[in-house]
Amino acid sequence: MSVSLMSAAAVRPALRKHIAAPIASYVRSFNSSATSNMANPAPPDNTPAKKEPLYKTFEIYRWNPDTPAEKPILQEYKVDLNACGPMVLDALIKIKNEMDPTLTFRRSCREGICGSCAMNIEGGNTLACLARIDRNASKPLKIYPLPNMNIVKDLVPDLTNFYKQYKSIEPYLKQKTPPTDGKENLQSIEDRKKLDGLYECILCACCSTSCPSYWWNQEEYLGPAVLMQAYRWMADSRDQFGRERRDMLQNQYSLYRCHTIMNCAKTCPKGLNPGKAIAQIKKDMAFD
Amino acid sequence: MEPPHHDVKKHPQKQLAKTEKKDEAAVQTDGPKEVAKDKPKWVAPNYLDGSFHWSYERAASVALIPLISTQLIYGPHLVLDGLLGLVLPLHLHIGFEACITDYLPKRKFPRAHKYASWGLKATSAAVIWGCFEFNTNDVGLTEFIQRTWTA
Amino acid sequence: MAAPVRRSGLQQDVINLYRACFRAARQKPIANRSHFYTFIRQQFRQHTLKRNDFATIEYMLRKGRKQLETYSSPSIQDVHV
Repeated sequence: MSVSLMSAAAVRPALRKHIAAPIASYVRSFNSSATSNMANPAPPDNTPAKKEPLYKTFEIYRWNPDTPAEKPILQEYKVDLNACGPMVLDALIKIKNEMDPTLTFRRSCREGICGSCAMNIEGGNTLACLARIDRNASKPLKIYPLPNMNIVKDLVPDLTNFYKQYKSIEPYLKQKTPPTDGKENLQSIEDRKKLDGLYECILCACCSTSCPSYWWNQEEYLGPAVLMQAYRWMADSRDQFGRERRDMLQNQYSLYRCHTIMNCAKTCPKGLNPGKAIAQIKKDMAFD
Repeated sequence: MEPPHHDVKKHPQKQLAKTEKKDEAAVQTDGPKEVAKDKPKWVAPNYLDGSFHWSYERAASVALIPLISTQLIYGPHLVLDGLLGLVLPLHLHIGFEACITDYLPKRKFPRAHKYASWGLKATSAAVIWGCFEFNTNDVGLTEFIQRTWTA
Repeated sequence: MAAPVRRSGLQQDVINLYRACFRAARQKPIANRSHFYTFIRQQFRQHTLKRNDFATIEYMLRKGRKQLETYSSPSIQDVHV
């Protein structure tokens, strides 16, 4: 590898020769100055033969805030799936890099841990980096931003209200009496287990924006993601403000607009169940 | 031209003088009017709309099970019919009330919300009264259903 | 004074925002105020919108409120168009 890196410039004329030659498969193996010298007639097994391009149509929601009076449109892009990664995010990045640099979307980690690329793919909210592209090229793949949110541009929703709601539940440890040794908050293994299935939430807003109750009343209803985080702090054995946290939800809207529709659990790209956490809150509040 | 936007009535210009940033999240029906920007607002807990409401919603649903099932098995009973004539309308009332708070929230449709909720209250009261009359002066709810079923 | 104009809620929202913008501009140093005035007017006249294009007007309102929140901060002293 190091050899090929150093001699990259030197290899170039040789490469050009190979492209001209009928055996084009050598072009792929850039570091194979050694292989090319071996005069092997059959291509090595590790260099795949060039596949036929498989073009799939991507229909992507476009809306530009600079021309606000224009209605949003679905723009079509044809992507060669054989020259593209397996996930929807790979296709989006390919489109942005190679076809249309104005396409706007959020992405960061490309492995489902940051929650940036949440969008509505094929009618369901999910993370673009965790959604496989359906290789059936006859059907177009539709990508919309998260539903019922204000749009900043193209696939970027305005999550200001969502984060404000998250802030309102005070998502941090609150204590009345600090730990006895003044150093750390100890927790038994059983108590720690109660947080499993809650702490993994990455706040991608897929669940909240899939919830009809949240669509109609997102100004006041907190939504599944935020409520699950509220429960995460109520369930924490080290937190001493459970009652106060629950009292904050004692009104018509914050919590009780949940009608156990369970779209949240169905759509969660991390496989969590916000509906169950909300049910737990309701149960705890009934016995407060 | 009447666009679906009614926030004006809620915040007259006096409040706008303080901060124009008056998004809908801050417009709580029963919360404090203005909140400091970085502090989470504290709203007095309203148990009647919160957990109590949820509890009696569940209680009504659970109470319906024996009220309906026992009469299904053992036939009509006067007292149970009377209770059914009360609990069933209450159960329906709670259900429709949820529809109104969901789809006609005070925040967005102050007038429609008022009409709808008073209309519902009047209807529910009328239904309860009607059930009572029917149970005392006529054959009773279960008997009536039984007869229409076999008729 | 003429009879009060009947405005729709949305029209009133726009006017309220416009006034609030100028009120915020009046908190800025005198020398720079005219810059703010130009900026605000430019922001409001930038687009020609149909009066029944509610979605766009609501979007512009949201955007305007966000902008106002930004430049009404005391740390912002001047604006250039």
